[in-house]
Amino acid sequence: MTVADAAFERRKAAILIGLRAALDETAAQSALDLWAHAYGPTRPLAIVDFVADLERLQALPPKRSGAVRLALYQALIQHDAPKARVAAPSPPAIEPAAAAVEPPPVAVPPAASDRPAMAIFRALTMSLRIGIDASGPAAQREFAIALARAGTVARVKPADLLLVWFASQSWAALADADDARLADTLHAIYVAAAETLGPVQADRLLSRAVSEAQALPESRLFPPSRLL
Amino acid sequence: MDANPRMRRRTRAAIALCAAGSPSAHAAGVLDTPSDIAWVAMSAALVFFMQAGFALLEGGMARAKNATNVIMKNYADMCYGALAFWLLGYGLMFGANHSGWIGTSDFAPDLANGRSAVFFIFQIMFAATAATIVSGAVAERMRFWPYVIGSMLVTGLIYPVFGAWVWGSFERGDGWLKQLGFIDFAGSTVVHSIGGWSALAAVIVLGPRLGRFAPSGAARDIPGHNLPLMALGVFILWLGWFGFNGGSTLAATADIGLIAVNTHLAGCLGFIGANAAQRVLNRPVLMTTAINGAVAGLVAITAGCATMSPPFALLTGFVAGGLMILATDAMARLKLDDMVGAVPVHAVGGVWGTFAAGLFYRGDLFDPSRIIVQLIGIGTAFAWAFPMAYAVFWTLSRTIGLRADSRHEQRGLDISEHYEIGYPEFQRDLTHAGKE
Repeated sequence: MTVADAAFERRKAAILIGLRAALDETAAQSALDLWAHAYGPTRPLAIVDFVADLERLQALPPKRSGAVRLALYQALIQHDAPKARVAAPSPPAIEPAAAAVEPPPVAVPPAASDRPAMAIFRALTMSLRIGIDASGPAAQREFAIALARAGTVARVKPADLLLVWFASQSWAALADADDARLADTLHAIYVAAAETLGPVQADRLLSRAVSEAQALPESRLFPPSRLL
Repeated sequence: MDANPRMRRRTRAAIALCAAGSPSAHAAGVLDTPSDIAWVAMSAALVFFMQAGFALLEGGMARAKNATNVIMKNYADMCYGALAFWLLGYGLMFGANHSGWIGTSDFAPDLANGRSAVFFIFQIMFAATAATIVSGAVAERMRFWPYVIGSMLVTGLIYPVFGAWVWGSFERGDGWLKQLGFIDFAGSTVVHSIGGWSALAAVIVLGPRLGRFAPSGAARDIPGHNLPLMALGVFILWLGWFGFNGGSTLAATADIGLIAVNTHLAGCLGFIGANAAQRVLNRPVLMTTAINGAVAGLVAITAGCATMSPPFALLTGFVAGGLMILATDAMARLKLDDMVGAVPVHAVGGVWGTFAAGLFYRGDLFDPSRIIVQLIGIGTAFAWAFPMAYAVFWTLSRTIGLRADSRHEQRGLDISEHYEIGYPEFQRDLTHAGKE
């Protein structure tokens, strides 16, 4: 088995774990077939498009689709990362659409990702992502453009922002980030959300994200408010 | 029927004052009896209470995370503004004005006698009103200390210089617009348009709030956090307006009755005018818009409340309500973010009201020469206040910085500027644990 095959199988297993967490067994297997044939070989991380197809084919209500997306992201983070650090990420193209299609797969050292601050940051980011994805493809495109701009506002490199956002397992860009840099990154995401969806909706998403993050055990060690 | 000769004397004096279009104490027969003093002191208290109205209106229209900051700015207008007006503004506005352009005495006045003291306290409330118009327009993204500096320059310089042209002076000399016959009885232009144009300049320099306009350019609603508070604020403003307009007689005369009637009717018709415009434009009848219409009606009648008959006061208020909506739409199209609608209400309402005061002058309707003078006054107010305020806010922006950091917009200016939040039970989780 080649390295590429191993990576594909590992990712496929992660996808199945995510699908099983949100769908019954039959629906999960059917969805996995769709991913393996239509997405796996060419666009394995195009989760938004994959779930949009799934929503149409399996007639999933929007709320359920959001849950599927979250489960897939979480499964990819937990089960698709190699155990060792891979090569440093090459900066993604600034063109957001390109970044959305196929980000470079990069892993993060477990020690870094296990930090309470990183766990809280990841939970906040994931929750915001679900909210933004639920707003539809047009909003996602607007968001990508806004995110590239927001890096300047929040003193975060746009390349890092796009990497974190579009390749959700690629936390390596923030592996050495201190709390202030995580807060800057989260703020850039908030700014982009406010520009795309409006400040009221951005506040609601952030509020929900904070509530969800507070439910994590890590929040006792690192309250989400420290990243706001 | 007024059978009291003394009352008749003072009524004549007040009418003469109205004809001059000024609430200054320059004319004989004002602020010279205990009842005059009592009435104007009470009016000053009513105008002071308008600050509470502005605070509730603006605080209610802001998001919860910015409510405290907005109210702090209202307090700052009153307190720092009072200092600036006492030190500099009063002398510029009401000091001896031999040139017609500027007062040159009575800086940091001693105010040894009750007559001048009560006049001063009434005027200081007006100055604070002009400044506080700005706070609502720039809410939710302007830093506190630069705002304080801007507010002091509005009350200490921009407002009083124009005021000197229209209402100056207290004892010696007349402003050049007053000499032309410009009518602005209680300040549609002097107070409200000057405040409104200053607000417009600040809004342009500051830029819109984060996410106020969609990438397509469409304006997004950012609803206030407490609409009942806002409605209560407008009720308080309305109450205060009876002192604002009624007190501008500077005498306890029977004319106060007509002034109060005109004030009230115009406020009511401003509300109705806004409702009518909303229906014509096939929009929902929003309370927030309707009560802004009432305020626009009150602003508009302020210039002509003493010189207009009630049917024209009704018309003035009605038109002001509709114009306010059109001006609000224009602001949105121009991507100008004015949180409370200060420019449509105060600047545009003031322009219309001052024009209407010339059109509907009792006993001399539609006099072209009077209308031209009114237009000169309206244009002069813009030509003075807007560039001056723009220069002030632009300079502040380029030096100490005017705009709050976007992180502070996210957290809310309550915590970032004042280290306290208005509603801790609900907001604690969403704000940073402390300042940077």
